[in-house]
Amino acid sequence: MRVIGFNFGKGQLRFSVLEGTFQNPRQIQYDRRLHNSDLPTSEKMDWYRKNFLELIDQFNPDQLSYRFGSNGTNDQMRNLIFPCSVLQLTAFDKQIVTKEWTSRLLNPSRFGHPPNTDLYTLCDTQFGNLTPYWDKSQKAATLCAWLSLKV
Amino acid sequence: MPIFSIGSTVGKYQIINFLGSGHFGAVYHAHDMALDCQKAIKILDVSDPADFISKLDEAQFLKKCEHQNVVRVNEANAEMVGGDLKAIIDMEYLPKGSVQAAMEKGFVRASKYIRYMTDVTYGIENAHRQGILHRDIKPGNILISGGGAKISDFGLATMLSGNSYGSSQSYRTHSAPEVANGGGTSIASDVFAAGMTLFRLANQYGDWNSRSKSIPDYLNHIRAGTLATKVGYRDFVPSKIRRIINRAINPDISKRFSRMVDFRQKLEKLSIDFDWAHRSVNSWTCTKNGVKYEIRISQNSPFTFDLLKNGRRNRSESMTFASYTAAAQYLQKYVAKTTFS
Repeated sequence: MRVIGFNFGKGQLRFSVLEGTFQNPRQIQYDRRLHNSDLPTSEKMDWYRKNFLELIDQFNPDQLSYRFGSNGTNDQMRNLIFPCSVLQLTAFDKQIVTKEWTSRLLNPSRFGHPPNTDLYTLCDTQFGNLTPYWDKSQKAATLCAWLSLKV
Repeated sequence: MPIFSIGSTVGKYQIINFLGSGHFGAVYHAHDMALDCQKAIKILDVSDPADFISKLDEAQFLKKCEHQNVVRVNEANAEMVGGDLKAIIDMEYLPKGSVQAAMEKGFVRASKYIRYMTDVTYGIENAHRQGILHRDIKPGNILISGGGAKISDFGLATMLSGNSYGSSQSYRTHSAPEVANGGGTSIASDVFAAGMTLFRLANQYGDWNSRSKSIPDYLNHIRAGTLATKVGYRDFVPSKIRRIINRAINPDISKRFSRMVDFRQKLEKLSIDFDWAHRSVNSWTCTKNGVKYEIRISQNSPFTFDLLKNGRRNRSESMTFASYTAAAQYLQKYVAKTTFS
């Protein structure tokens, strides 16, 4: 199984492509894609659609997963909910399964670890202390993909 | 040159206009009488019927490269016209024409040419993923579609071979030095050609053919990868764009963007601050957040530079120069300095 995990933020998306099983995940690639956050919303959505299509074409995933949270300012919501909607529509066109992970669901017990486990450290342990852009945003995209391998 | 006159019919198509000559054929704006819609059709001579399929390479490449930033191919057919066999490639018609034509008609703002080039890099990146090199990226092959652009004319396109190289055909003044010196085309040579295209757009070089050929020894500069350096940047070109172009057209392949997506990401990060348009030799204008800005210089002594906001002079920005040349240079550099935030 191959999954692309996404994490959206202002002016960027992070993605992580994992393959294999939950117990034995292999990272194929991770990266970030940036755009000018001052673009009109409609152009931003076009940007997301083209980038989703490009990544789907490149990696041919079985599933797309993403982090979703419902708290935040209007801007934060816009930067999250709008891209998620475009991702859902793109997945529908391509007939690819999607999986949504809220912050509540991304917890250590899901990974079979005690509640106080730091998931970002767990990411380092599993995939290595990578460079560049191997920060919390990137690891969140990776955690989404990783958990999706379990299902 | 057109061989079919306006109003004549070729199969189900009625010719509306001649659009231009592409590689190996002429392109027409036509009315598709069967579907009652407008199309762009490329008509190619087929001297040997056995050679018919090879004439359709371009249509096949377009089909393989289907993408929202690649001109859509509808079908490809054979047609007997006046006893001669013709291959007809039926494509979508984009009435706004090419970026080259837009540049010849007037000034293309930074926001526009960045969008056009971003779209082109999406289309070309997609072609590269399908294992296809375009090899003819230039303003004349970029068609304006809505607010963006699509890449067209895959007449010189080729499949990447196992060693990631194609044969050495390409548009001459956009040839990367390794290609001009007889080497194969590659993703890196498409990056170089895209960089040359951006160079022309950023500088508004609508008269590229005469400009490039006026450079003494221009063929040697193409071989050395220094043609753009020799032609030079206009003062109004922002440094952020220059850095991106210089990397894309670096004569040293190892210093170029290795993938179109890397080139594109640099463009996508740019944020326009003042989207200037060249109004006259002494004046530039733009609108930002509903405020109309004008920067201008006086042609007669005293040679002053002024910034006007909604028609009112902003005294803190005013400058006086000893010569018209110095004022004109300041005007252009002001544009370069304020285009991107």
